[in-house]
Amino acid sequence: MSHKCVLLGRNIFRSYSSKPLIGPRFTSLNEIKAYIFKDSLSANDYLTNSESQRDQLQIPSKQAVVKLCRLSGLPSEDADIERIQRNLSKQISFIDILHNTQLNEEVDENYARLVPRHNSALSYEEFMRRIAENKEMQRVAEQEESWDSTSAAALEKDHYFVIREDILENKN
Amino acid sequence: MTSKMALRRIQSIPELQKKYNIFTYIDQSAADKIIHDKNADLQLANLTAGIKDNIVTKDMPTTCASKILLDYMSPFDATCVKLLRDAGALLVGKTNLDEFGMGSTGTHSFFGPVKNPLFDNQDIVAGGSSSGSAAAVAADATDFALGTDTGGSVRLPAAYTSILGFKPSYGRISRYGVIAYAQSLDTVGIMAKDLSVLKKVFHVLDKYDEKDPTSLTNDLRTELSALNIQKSTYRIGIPKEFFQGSLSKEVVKPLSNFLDKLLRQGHELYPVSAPSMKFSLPIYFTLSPAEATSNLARFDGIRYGTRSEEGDYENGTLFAPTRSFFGNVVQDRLILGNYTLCSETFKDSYIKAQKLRVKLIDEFDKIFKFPNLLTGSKGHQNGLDLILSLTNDAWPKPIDFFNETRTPSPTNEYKNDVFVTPMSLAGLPAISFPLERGLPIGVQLAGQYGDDSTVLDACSLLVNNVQS
Amino acid sequence: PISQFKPLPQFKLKCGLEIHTQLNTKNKLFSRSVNDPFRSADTPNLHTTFFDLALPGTQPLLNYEAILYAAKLALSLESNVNLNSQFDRKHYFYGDQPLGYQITQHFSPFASGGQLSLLQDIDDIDEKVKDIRITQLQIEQDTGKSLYRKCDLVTLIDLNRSNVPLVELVTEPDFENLKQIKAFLKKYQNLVRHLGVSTGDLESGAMRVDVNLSINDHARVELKNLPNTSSIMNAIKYEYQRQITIMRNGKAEEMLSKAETRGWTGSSTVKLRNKETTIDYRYMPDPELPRVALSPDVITNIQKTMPPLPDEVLQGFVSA
Repeated sequence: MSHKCVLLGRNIFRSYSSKPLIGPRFTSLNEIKAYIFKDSLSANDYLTNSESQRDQLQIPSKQAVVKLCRLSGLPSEDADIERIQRNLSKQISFIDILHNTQLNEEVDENYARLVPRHNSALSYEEFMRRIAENKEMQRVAEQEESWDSTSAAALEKDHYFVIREDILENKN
Repeated sequence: MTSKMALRRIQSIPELQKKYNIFTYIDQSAADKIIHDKNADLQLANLTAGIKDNIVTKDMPTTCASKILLDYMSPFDATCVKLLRDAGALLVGKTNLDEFGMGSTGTHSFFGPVKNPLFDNQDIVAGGSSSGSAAAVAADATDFALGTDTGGSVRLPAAYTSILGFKPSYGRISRYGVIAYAQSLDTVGIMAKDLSVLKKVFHVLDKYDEKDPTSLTNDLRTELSALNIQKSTYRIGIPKEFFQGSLSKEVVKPLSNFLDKLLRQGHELYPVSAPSMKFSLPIYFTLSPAEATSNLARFDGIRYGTRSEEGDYENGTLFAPTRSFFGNVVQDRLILGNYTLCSETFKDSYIKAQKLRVKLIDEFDKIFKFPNLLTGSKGHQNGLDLILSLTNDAWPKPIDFFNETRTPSPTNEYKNDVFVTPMSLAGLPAISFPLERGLPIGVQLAGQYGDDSTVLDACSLLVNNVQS
Repeated sequence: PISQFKPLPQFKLKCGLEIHTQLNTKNKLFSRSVNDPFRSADTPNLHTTFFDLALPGTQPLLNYEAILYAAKLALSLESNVNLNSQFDRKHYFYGDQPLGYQITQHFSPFASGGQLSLLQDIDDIDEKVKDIRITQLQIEQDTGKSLYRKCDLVTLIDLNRSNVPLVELVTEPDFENLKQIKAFLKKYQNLVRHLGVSTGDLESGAMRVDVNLSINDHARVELKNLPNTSSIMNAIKYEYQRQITIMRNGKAEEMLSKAETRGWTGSSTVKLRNKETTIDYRYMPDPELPRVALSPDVITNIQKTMPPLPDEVLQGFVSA
């Protein structure tokens, strides 16, 4: 498939090609202006289009929203469930674009982290050095002489943190 | 910076605060900390700074502009704060933000919205989430300010307030002490009017920190500086995905002038396309709420923070009375994050977004000439040094527009981030500078991962000092 | 006594174990605070650093000593160490869990496979040899402790134990009788002590055992709250009898078709929750902890430093 010939065309970005491309160098300001100011499908339009199909959207059920509130540790009793349903359906429609996107090749999702992908395995020497270092590492012990672990708590009893209920009974 | 100048800035703060609601906390003793010793050999001596209030400080409260952390005092300083203090900077206060960094308007704060100092007679948003930091610099309350940039939160407010906003490569500046929103993306950024001040601050903060497991290692830092080449002209790509036909007249003219300047300086300009960029926003709004929902699970009022008087259960849900103190925008994102993480949706949403994020990173690798030390990409032999776009393409809106009852959809606000999220997803260094002095439109220059020096060097060719 | 308990041939018992073992490293799993959940028991929240309390802005730092201990344990069980394991977050709200999630290994655990062989002469079982297969070993954080104080109607939270390193070992459902279970627990306890990776004490909670059990392939029941060997044995006996009675009464379809979790009261087992109503833990790879990437020489070198295993010493494979 030739990508180059359509790079400056109007419709290139409608189909999802995974090939990044650098086009031919601009020779004049007018050429750049033509490129920038020409009508084309922009990222914003792309999103707006997919959102305009919102009629087909399903509003999450009341039970689903209550479940999500509970998982979020948020009130479900007095919550404005309708507001949450409305906003959640819009948010879901926004990210749902990804569901409809085909990934044709194998991609290792672990590479999404912004850390070295390769050659990061520890050698035995380095491994043992880290253990020794950790044992000695009082200087970054995150403890300060004057710091009292329960001092910032609104409720405290005999140096314990406090929950105003029998959580053992309520544990599910 | 002279001690006189520092004093003048500090004295101006109460008045500016009244006008723009810049700070969540002002250090009344800042003036006492001015260094009068003329021989003081500190890099940032007497430069005044605002610290975004999601970065912890020992001597000032850290609230994330949330009711849930009101009056919270951290027992330790963030590494970036410590480095600033050691270099002689004067921390004058904590700056306002969208609660926990969630927002791009600076209007979702327990302390009320920040007003854009660029518009004196109108209540216009300063952009977010580092709204207070941008306003502090724009209003000359401070010489520089620290913000955090998860999906554009430094660059966008910098553009709206017509100042410089730099988001370095992910991992350059320690995140230890930065209250996590989405730590696979969170990056400490620097805002200033004077590029030389910004560079000095970056120089102080650009250090490995053993306390941050995602800090860029010293080995990689050494390799990166060995790869750096100084140039006077650059190969710059203009991504097609970022421009649309509907640019307003106010933008077209200065943009043409700017492009003309680029050509006259001898830079080579190319059209470029990274197809996955158009998925940046949905990727971002899948991953960041998922991480946020996890990171914000710790706020239960038990060990610190505001505690509900009512009890610790609501209808069988542990901690709900205290956690109801989160604002609506935060609650909506926590719910969305849990939707994404739920076992039924996890694979189709979270994992899919991760895969597309990998594709985006790999596409950038095929565009840039500079190698990517994280991915192992050797770089494209005839690749680009930089990519250039606008930071925003429309005037900042009135604060009223984002009044919750009027905003038709939370996703409308998301679109503000369309030009800035791709760089966050790939961890690229990026700076936003004003398209023209005083104009609330920014130009965004981004380089390959780790190539921060090229971004800053090129910026110094292109930006007339914003400082008058 | 156990010897009197014989599973009936028409009611076939199948058992597996889940054992949590505290590693006695010097420091905790993701912080540099002292790992000493016992001696400090009188002073709650003493061995806690900023991270252990989940203070805003703190970050986890992996203690590789825990990896070393887990590797020793895995190697002694002939388990395959995963050279690229990772940590994941398991979300649920609870008072003794400061982060709102537990850092554990879900998607890519530390080791898998392996076995512990029980021998008639050494371990006092009826069979000549019985191999108990290991499913996997994962490394995770321990939680804090909750105490209910009735007089004040409050639960008190102590985080001294929070973030202590644990290895969770899961066996295949290979156990057929109580003797095998007892022998396995004793042998495993000996092993961790011999390797010096844990005190292995059940009484102090350094080792905690859950039992998965099914009879005639009915739904699996998980038994929890088993503080010592005798409660483990008695709970299994009780549960075995209970299910047999249900089956004999023709109620198996109704009462034994759903997995459930039951606790031990000291004299009987009681239902704690249905497995299917269990909350969704929303596992997510930890976005900031590095993967545990080890080069093969880490394993070969640890293997070299391993002491001869107890069975080898006993059988004289190794000259003393």
